[in-house]
Amino acid sequence: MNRFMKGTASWPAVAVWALLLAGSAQAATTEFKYYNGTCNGGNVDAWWCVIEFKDGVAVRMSGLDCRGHYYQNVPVKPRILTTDPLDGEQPNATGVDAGGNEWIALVRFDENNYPTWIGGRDGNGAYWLDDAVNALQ
Amino acid sequence: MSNILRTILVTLGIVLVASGASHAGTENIFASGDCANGKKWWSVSTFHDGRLTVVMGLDCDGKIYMRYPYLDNVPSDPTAGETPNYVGSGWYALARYDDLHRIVWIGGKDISGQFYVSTIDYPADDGSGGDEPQPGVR
Repeated sequence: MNRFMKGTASWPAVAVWALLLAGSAQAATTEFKYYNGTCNGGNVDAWWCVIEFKDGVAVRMSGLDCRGHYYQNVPVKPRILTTDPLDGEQPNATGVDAGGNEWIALVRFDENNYPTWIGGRDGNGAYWLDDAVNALQ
Repeated sequence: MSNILRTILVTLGIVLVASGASHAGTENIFASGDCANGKKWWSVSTFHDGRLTVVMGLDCDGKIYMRYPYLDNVPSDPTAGETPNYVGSGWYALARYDDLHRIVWIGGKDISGQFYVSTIDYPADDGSGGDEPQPGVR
């Protein structure tokens, strides 16, 4: 299964990924990362967000932003990158995949504390990014 | 005691009471765990002044659910003899779960000291989606 968006990555990269995924005999690990905080001047006192990662790649998210809008099961659609999207920034999500390899990710939130940018490096060392996470897409 | 000092003390008292009254406010509590079928569940329960107002989560079938429970006030502690699994600032609650790890019953005491209970139903198919990500309700 290719978790990445078609048409946005180079075919050699997709081929490499297909080989990597096919070679992975272990079941995928699922981890939930929870983010929360207080709102300043929003419609609610506090916001929260749960992001589901499979083997270190974000797949979907749910939560409540500072406008008081709930979002459920919003898909994350990563594309493959050749360079590190974190570019030296500290990740705010880390974990270990089924093969025991560490993965990292960074989630950025907009002014309403809605997650709009999610990128990282999975356990195989591949970089991925969805910089336009949108509940309406 | 001078009027000025009395005014200062009364004002200070009001500020302290106000800050204490707003201390509980809204508390979102995240929980997650493993299901018997190998999947994982999570939930975020929102308590306002110690009363459950909404719960959203992913159940052991891989479905997202969201409920706004109606709480009934009761005269005595519905958790008596049991250990609460949700504890906040001046309140506590005990939640019971079904096989899919969704809250089906909750009882507790809010920050005013009022006891409450609620039973939460889940229709067989509420159209909340399955394994595949669904468009949000943003």
